[in-house]
Amino acid sequence: MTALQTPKSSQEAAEIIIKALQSGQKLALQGGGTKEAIGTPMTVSQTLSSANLTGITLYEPSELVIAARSGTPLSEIEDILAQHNQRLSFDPPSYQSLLASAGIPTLGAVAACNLSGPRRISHGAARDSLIGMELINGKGDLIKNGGRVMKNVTGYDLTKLICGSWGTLGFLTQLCFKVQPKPETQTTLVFYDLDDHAAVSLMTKALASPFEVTSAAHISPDWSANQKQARTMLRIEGFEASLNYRSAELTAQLHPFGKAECFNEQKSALLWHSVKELSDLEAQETDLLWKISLKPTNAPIMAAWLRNSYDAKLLLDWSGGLIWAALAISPNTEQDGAAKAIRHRLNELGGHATLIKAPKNVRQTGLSFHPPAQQMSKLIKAVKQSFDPYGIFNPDFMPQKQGE
Amino acid sequence: MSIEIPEPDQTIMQRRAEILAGLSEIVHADCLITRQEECRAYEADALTAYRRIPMAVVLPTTTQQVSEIVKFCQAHQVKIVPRGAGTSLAGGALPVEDGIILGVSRMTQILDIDYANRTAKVQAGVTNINITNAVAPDGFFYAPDPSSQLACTIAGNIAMNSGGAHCLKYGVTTNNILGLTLVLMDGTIVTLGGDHLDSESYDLLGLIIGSEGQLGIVTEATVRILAQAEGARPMLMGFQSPKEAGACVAAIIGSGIIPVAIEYMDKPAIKVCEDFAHAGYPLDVEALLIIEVEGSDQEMQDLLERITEIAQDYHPSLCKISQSEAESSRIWLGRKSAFGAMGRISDYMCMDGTIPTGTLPHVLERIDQIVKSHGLGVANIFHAGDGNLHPLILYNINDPKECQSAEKAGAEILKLCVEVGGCLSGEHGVGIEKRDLMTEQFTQKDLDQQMAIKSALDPHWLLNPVKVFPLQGRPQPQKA
Repeated sequence: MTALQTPKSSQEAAEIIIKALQSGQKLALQGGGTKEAIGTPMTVSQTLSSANLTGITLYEPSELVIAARSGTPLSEIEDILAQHNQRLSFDPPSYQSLLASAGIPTLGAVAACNLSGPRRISHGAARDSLIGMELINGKGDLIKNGGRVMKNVTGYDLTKLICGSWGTLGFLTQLCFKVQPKPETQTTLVFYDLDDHAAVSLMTKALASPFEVTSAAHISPDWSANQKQARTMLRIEGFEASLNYRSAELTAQLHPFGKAECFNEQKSALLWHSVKELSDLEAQETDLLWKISLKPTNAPIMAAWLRNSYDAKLLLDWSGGLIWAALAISPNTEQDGAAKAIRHRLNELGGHATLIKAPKNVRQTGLSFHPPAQQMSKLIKAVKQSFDPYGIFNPDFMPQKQGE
Repeated sequence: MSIEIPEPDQTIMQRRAEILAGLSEIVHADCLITRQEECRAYEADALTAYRRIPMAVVLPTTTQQVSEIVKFCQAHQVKIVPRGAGTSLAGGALPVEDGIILGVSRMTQILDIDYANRTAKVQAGVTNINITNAVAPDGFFYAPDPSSQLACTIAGNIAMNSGGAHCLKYGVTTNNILGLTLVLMDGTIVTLGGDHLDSESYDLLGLIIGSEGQLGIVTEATVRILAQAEGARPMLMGFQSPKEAGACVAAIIGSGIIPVAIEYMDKPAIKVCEDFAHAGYPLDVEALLIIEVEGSDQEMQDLLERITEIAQDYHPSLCKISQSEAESSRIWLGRKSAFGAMGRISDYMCMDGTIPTGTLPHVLERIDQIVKSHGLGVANIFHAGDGNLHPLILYNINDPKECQSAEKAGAEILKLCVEVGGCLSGEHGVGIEKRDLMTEQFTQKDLDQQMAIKSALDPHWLLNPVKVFPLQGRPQPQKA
């Protein structure tokens, strides 16, 4: 049975960490616990949670900046921003329905897992919007880095290291993000019946245009039961007059790919929400879900290989730079959920893959996260050592080198 | 000047001949500068008040050579100061006498351009502007645009995480780099990132960018290139008080419009820039904003109309939209040559703090008071949209008393930036200039965390050693 610690202050959290250090115990770090189903199941006896470290500590709409304690629900942040017609530009997903989780997604998890949605291709990832943080390192020291201003090169930038470190470097207590005004409206152009190759070609062309496409995704017909046709979607955002102009220009330039249907604001928002949360996927029936990051023009090659090798349903986001691959478990996926085979293929194509959803026995193989190349292990160990010299946070959760 | 630079290690100085001989076995003779008169060309960067002549200057042409040089230096405990084009305003490339300059200025090839995936792979010594020049004919550009972009290298941009006038919309260097080739202090060559998004494992790109050449030597970079907007158009907006100009900036951003750039100049800066560039700046205003928008003709007109309307509440005495390409280039020429133009009339120290934009009027008033209290003058030119200030403290570099006063005033200004919630450096880096002020912004524990990474990757503290962290409170470097 895991003991759950929910400190109410960073001081209290530091004391728990120091106590754990002294007694030689390890700690699992957690926000709302909604991503517990990702990665190697942990076997530590104590969980340190930010669930009671809540509250917005700074919000200056005219300075485009918001700061909050790490356990603050993501929805609270999104609500207050919406009241001021602003948003987190990187579009963080919650994956709540996907992972069938009961907890409350927190701002800390957005940073720790570097969660970014479809707008990542135009507005950057969570790591690009995180401008300041406070955390407690593995020695029990409260550390701050960055700040509340959006241009800051004072000292090393540790905020980006934290994004995507999945709680292996420190216990986050506070975060500061830059925010963005919400555009007046949005619209989406939808092209039908393109294969992967044509879809990626269309999406990369659209992104190489001056018309500021903010999201580009391609859904194959097999992805969900709700649709019969392949859909390739381009989102544009801004003032209405400008959108009319840009969608006309895009439609004209992309004419060789067929006729585009234009989704209005409401339909467009719903569509991208379903891409962000992968909510069209029959989550319960999905055995294995891979998130594969690669260069867009390699996506059709990877997609073809996935379809040939497995019973695969695919969604291409980030103009092909992200493949969501839902695979059915079969003898082909072997014990490791196809981890070795997928990564072997990526060694040739470039990129990396993370297993987001899998049965426990597959997760126990410890291959959910992409093992870094051998020559990188020195750097990665140096970083881990410098933050968590005694290895007390989320032990063995992220591999430090291949073969671990 | 008052920033301490440690005395050179005599045991290294005495081995000079042996060290130079070793280096000459790694690079060709024309890539190794050892004569003191020639090394003098590298004695300073753009922070010219500080000068040191390095033992030698090595200008490798390949990553492999960099690896061998670094390995050699580690084995012989020779310090290394990496150098791009030497345009650092913070002394980031100031040499040490008991070490070498490792310059990337001979590594200037553009290795690959991939329009479909919107990336360019370049050697680290390529200049910022040459990336844009290489892709501009096909309608693309590289976004971060520091004022020194004609000269500065991508290596230097990566070291300092450089910004520029247009980062309000496009972000700074760290938001525009996808991959790096990095040589670690033991000579290991590693590839970070690549042409895909996000990192497997830790975001080491994010760590290396902005680490001021203290963690490794960057030899190649994969940068993101973007499609050029259909058009760009600046407008000039003049105000009779800094307060109104500042409030106008906040109102524009608060309204939901993010222009590509919002630049601010005060009266002394306007005068100097106008004399230099004949940009058409008004001479009868206290504060001038250059606001640029992008898009089609119609979109730009629409945005500038919206902005002009918002501005009316703040009583601008001038609202002038650029009418031609030529006028737009002159407007930007004036802004981008501001530091150079100022240098023609006076020596100056360029500050680089960032403040929360809401504190702008207060901070400008205090800067004026601080500088006056030291008997000096100031001109303000900065990126108003993101609060990154560049007060230029005007002084006479040949007058030791004025030098001291300028440094004191500078330190007070930077402390003020921290006090109101900002930081010491928005885009120039810490270098030696702000090294001793780091404790104003960080606790010792904050710095210990950063230095722990430095020690792990450079255990002997040989890479750009006298920069960034105060000399007191450093961990003991590992013995050779």
